[in-house]
Amino acid sequence: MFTFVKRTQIPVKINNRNPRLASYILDQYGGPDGELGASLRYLSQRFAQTDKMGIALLTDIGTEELSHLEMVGSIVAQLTKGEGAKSFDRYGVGDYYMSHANAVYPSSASGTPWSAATIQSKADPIADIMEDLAAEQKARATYDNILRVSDDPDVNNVIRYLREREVVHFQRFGELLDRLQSKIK
Amino acid sequence: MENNYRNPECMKHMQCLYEIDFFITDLTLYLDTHPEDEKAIEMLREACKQKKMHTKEFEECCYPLTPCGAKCDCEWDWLFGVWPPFSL
Repeated sequence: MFTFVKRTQIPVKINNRNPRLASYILDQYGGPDGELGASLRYLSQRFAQTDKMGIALLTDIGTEELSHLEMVGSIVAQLTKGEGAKSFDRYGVGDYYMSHANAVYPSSASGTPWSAATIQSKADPIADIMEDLAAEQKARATYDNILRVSDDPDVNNVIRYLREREVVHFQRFGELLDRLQSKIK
Repeated sequence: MENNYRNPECMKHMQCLYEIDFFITDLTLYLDTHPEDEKAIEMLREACKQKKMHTKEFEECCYPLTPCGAKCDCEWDWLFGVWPPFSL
């Protein structure tokens, strides 16, 4: 089951406002390689695992991704707090404002609503873990893309942390793959 | 009635919670793939004790972090505190 604790994993304190940067970061909220997809992918795949290490790792990483989803949403919310239609328009993201004002809505940076078509859950432990390794790299690459355009230090602190966690998750999935493959032998 | 939470006491316990909880999360993932590492298990157990202590101290002087941390005073103080998207 899931419990909520009234704090984010690391503090999110954004001083500036920037609806355009927020729209880029939103890609890690509702985009194809974002945290929502990651959580649902791992938390769905875990049901088909029979190896307890697999069940535990998918559950624990899936849970951490939910905390990351919360942080990404928090960055977006803080970057757009108090910003109105004219500000969104000036920053070139007026179309988002038309549908959502300055709300946080799970879509990609290009406006595609989140879709389960971006994830797979196949009851095949090797296929699932291979997908998970790729997912972590795609998430890491997306964070790299964000860091290429963002010069906001408050935002970048959190983004760098989230990026580093993806690298660690990749490492752990690699260890699980080794174990599953050695069991097959 | 809400207080100002940006005081040294609350900030100190919250900072400890950020650090110790991260340590626990990271160590949990490590132990999931290295379940035989007894030293790591011991470190995790100790960290969980610390987390419990800092959580209790934070909730005593600041605000509840989970509904069970709510005080049995006259108000439902689960509503209080700094909620996401904001952070203490």
